[in-house]
Amino acid sequence: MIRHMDARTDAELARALRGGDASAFEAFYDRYHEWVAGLALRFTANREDALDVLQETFIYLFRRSRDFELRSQMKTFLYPVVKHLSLSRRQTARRQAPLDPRTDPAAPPVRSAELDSLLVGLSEVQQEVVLLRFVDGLDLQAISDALEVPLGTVKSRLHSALDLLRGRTFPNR
Amino acid sequence: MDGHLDVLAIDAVRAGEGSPEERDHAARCADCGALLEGFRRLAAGLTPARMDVPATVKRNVMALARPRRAWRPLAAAAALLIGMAGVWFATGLRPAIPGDVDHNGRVDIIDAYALAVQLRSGLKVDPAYDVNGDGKVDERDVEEIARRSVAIR
Repeated sequence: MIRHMDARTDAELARALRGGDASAFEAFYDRYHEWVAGLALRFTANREDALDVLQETFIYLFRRSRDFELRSQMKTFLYPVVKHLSLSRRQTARRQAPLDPRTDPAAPPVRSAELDSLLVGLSEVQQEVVLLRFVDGLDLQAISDALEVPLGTVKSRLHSALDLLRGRTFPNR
Repeated sequence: MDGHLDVLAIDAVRAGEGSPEERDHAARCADCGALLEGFRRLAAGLTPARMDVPATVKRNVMALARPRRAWRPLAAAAALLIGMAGVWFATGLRPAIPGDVDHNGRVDIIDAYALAVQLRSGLKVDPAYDVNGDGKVDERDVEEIARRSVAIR
């Protein structure tokens, strides 16, 4: 059976979700699950962990559904949830395997070698802003909302990151 | 417009947010155009391949959100619980093995999974599953059961 994407806006879905509309919850899942999975994979670098984080993220959304208010973009709501759940998962893994450097919660997110090579030399906060901008497609205000930092800070981080990147050449893909 | 575009302005053009003047400049200026192309390549290089998400994830998530038919599931669950409690107390069938959540006579990884599902469901969990004895039933008990399942084998 072909399912058609729900035509309602995110704000309309959020209102419907508050009213207990299960189809609104499903529409949110259909709309954002791939992005959430990709983001979780970026943080965890582990497919199984990313799928667990995906599931937990939407369980969290469902539990919040009765008082859910969409104050900004849906991605800015989901980003800190995915980040927190991914880091928690790494903390749990650290308890189980303390010698695995991947699981140190104080360490920066694990990234693929390809990602690392493109962003080498950028600080952790600069990398985060660049990824939100270039991969997730958020505008600067949305990044500010997602990271809960002032807009000026986002501009400053992005500006310094792009200054570092401007002299590099990137392969055609 | 004097000189070249700022990196933020070039990025705005890349993201489709630039002003008409900025877009026009990027189209005409070789230096800014080259930087714009570099940023576009960076975006393409950073964007990961699409991750396949199994349908089971959606089924698990949506199972939470299905509309509940008022009293019927509650009544069925209550009847089941009352029946189980009756059997429990009448026959003394309390699990002999701590952590045997599914009461099949052994502790295995399925017990850890069963307890994890119960915890995630948000329903009240039997305090008997406090296998690590810290006074509460939580993820640590799941981990403890998983550990014991390996140890027993």
